[in-house]
Amino acid sequence: MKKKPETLSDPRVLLTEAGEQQWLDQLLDEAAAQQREKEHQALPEAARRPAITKRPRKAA
Amino acid sequence: MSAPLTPLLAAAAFGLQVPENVPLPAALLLVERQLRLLPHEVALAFDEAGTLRLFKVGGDSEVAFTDEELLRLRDSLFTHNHPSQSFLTVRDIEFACHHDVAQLRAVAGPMVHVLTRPAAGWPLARCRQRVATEQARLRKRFAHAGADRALARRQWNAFAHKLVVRLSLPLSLETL
Repeated sequence: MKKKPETLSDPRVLLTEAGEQQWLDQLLDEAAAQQREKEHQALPEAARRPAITKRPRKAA
Repeated sequence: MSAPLTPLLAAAAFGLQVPENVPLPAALLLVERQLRLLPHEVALAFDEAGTLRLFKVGGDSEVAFTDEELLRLRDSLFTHNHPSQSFLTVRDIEFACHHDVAQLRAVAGPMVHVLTRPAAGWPLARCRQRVATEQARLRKRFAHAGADRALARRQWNAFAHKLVVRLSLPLSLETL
């Protein structure tokens, strides 16, 4: 499971250079996921339903 | 059970020479010349007399401290290295403010970026507020799919410079 982004205000930790870049990536990943969810919720109900695909007919 | 290593012994076990009974500037110079060669981050805190209070070796993404260790940081001269030779990070600045160190130093190759506690003390609340505002701005700007992450990283790193200026923090550069 992906680690939840740490807040920069956690006083017990000094992020290394690499750690701070990882933290930033995770922050932006989280923001992007929230944005996608927001856009999804804004769609009309019909558009939110998964598309129904027809089963292929059995060969006679 | 054996007693925990003193910071001096821990540093020696790591292979770092920390001089004893020498003035602080000489101790810092000797230690920081060794730090500049290390491939990963190491942090040390000295008191004004040049005595080593704390020695910590960083992991891949963080240097973690216990509560007791954090208490030892107050009024100390805290030094660490940036193997990629970069400027202070936003986290460095927030860390200095939060733990009320006398100085936070980052060894970047042959140079040391030195942030000194202002006479009026660290502006922790203003620092946090500005960091939170910048985080929110980046989240908003770079949340869409296909956002330029490299640009976001550059902006975040540049923000560390801006933070020092906007908080009017005393910054100097020393040569090793």
